[in-house]
Amino acid sequence: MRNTLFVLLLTSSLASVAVLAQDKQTLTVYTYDSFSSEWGPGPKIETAFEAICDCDLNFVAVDGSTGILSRVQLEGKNSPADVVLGLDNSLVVDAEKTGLIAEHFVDMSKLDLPVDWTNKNFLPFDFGYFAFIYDTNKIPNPPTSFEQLLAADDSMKVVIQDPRSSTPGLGLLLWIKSMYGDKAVEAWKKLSPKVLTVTKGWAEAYGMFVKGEADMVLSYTTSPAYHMIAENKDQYQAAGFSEGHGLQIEVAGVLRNAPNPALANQFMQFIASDEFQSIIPTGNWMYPTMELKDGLPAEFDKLVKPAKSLLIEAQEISDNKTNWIDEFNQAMSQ
Amino acid sequence: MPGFIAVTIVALLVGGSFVGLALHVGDIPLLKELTKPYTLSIIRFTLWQATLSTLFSVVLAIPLARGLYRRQHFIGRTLLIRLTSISLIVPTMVAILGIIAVYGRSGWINDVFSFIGLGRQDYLYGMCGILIAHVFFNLPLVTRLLLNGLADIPDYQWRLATLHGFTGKNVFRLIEWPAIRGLIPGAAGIVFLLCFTSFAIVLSLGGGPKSTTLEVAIYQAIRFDFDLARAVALSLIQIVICLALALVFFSRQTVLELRSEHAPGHAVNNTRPDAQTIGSKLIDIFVIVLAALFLLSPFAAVVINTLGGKGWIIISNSSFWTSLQSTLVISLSAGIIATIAGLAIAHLITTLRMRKQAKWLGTAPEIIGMLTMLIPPITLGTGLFLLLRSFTDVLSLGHFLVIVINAVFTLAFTLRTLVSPVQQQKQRFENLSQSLGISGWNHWRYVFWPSTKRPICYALAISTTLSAGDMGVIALFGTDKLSTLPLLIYRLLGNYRLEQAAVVAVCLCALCLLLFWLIEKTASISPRRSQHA
Repeated sequence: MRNTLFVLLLTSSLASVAVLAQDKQTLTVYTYDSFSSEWGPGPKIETAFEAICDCDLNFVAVDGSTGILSRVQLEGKNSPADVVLGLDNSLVVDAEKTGLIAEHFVDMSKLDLPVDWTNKNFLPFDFGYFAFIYDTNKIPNPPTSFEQLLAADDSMKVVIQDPRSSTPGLGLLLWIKSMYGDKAVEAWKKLSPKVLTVTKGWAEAYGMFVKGEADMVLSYTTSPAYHMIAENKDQYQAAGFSEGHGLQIEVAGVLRNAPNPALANQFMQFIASDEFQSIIPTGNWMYPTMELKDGLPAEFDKLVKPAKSLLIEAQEISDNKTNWIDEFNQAMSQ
Repeated sequence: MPGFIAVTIVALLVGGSFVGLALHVGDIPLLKELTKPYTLSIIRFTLWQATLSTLFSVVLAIPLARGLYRRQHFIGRTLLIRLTSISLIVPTMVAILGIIAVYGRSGWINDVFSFIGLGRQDYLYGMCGILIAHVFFNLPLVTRLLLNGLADIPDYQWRLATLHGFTGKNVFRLIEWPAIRGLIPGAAGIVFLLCFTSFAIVLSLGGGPKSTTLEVAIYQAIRFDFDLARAVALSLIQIVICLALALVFFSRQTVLELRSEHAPGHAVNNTRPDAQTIGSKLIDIFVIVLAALFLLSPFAAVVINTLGGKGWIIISNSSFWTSLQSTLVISLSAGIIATIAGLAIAHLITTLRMRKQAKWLGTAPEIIGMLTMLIPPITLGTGLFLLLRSFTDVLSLGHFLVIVINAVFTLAFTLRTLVSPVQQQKQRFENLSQSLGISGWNHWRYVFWPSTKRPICYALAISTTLSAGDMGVIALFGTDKLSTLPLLIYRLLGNYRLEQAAVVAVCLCALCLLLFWLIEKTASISPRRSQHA
């Protein structure tokens, strides 16, 4: 037993020393875990980019997109990261305030987004609409507006995510704010008895929903595409709301002190290419930010198309986020 | 000497991380935080849930320990007692899955409710869920500690009890209660601290912002607000409250050890006067069956939910095996470090205690060991990160840091397991060894190891399995190619692969149980030569 332990330890330490003794340049990209994982778009993007860059693309997974920003803030000017990928529109101003992000110089005229994007520091790489997903086998008549959801019987349970630890959670907060403004607190109070639980991240919430714990879960209008394409199931659908849906735009940016600025810029150009963008729909289960040569998979045509995209100005989010979260806290704690 | 080194390293890691943070933030807004109504409400909730969890765990453990001790022979007793020693090491993530599968809206209990026409009830998310999970983890721990106390009751007391024809009530009042009374404050103290610093359980089962513990608030301060000053202030508040409470709980120097079940002291005893009455039999059967259902059903649910599903395909994926391998490497390395450090510190504590003039010094290493239980992992991780980044590339140190921090966090448990055996060993054998001139390797090989191998293996088993189930520490540093089983579960969940995630959870749980069993088992393999020594 003792010998086995020893051999295990020895081989592991040797293996970690032997890794990466090459002289190729390494591009370091900080992203969130589900993007870089084997089942996300990361590996395909890595292969495609390495084929053209003569470099190593190294994704470093940090937990959640708020994790990406705080990690870069912790490291400051000495961050080994070249690119951050996976912040979203709600974090853009906070990220700019750190002074760590540089302009990216990618031509954004080809961008095809539901709203105009003029920010020069961040490049959108995908987008999606927040929505409540339900099981058609259990709910034949889902609410067709947010107002109906709030008015529904309290026995209908939804799972949402905490706005302090999860981007969809924050997305719902902003979505409600954009619909109800000063009356957001009342909306939260009406929603509160229907909230089964508030999870730390998207994954826990979605898992609970699929297990049948809740009737609805906060996710994206694109989530049903996964079930239709990968599992051949169409029982999970998004409830389309007449008020419109909260929009999330995920972005990438180059660090001012990137160790490999040229490579970083090459990668930013790559993000705006058909090759990168075509991996997004069935890799990250979001919409690409450009029209694809081969179009979207057919299943995407069956998804809910929001009548209106609701997006709050980045500056306004940054100025008020803390207050709005306090509102949420108070409304939900009663 | 090694003890000093170990204590110094731990103190440096803990102190260093705080220095790293304090230097970074400058002012620590301790007073400002303490006067905020929000902070106060969090403190109140944290104390309240920890108090309730402790109360339930301890009160329920008394009849259970008593029943298990009174009934020495029934099918499954060994399994149940085994379970009391492994509940501590079940990965939190897996237990939460299991608890939801049993108590959730679509869980077994609700299946029964809806079958008998009561309809599905939403009781789990909130205080109830927190209590169920905390009792699930801590009831076995307390039961085990109390069983140790019961097993130490000398035989003559039972003979006296039989002679005088004690009733069950008298047996409890005059024999059993005095035997466990002294253990309760210490046991309650451990449970209280574990629940006070609870994180994943509160986040998953707490039901929302109304259930926020200090540990959760600290996480949010760092991750979301990037308000490190606030995080440091909240961490200090947590540590001060816990230390103050710990002083109360642990003030009476009760010997509280986590013991391997093969340890001497678990004597078999059958001559008690109250064992054969129908009343006592009914109570014991009721308590034991209920406890068995409570403790086993979440495991059963997790396993049953994966049967026949498509999730098992993950086993054919090479990522599964590399994750398994790194889980093994990380957990065994962390376990070995924690056990060696625990041994070294236990020696130091014993030596200091035996020197009368410096007796108070003997508690210092124990306090440091306990500190590691109270510091939020995210605070320690962030502090170390800040401290180290000026010297080195933290990412390349990632694996090593994960091992060391896991070792630090499990140190509190190895210390609990090792201090009293080392002390007993020293008292029994030190003079003898000195007079025989046995020292160094020979002392270790022929005197120390044979008499303390059980607690050593037990400590190794606990620290290894605790590290294997860890998720918090690994997530702190970010990972490039590294993957462990808990990370794999999270990645699968994050990419819609729920069935596969559930299978990995079952495998992780099985791995922990297997590791625990194997390591504990090595204690009973005795090298042939030492028997002649």
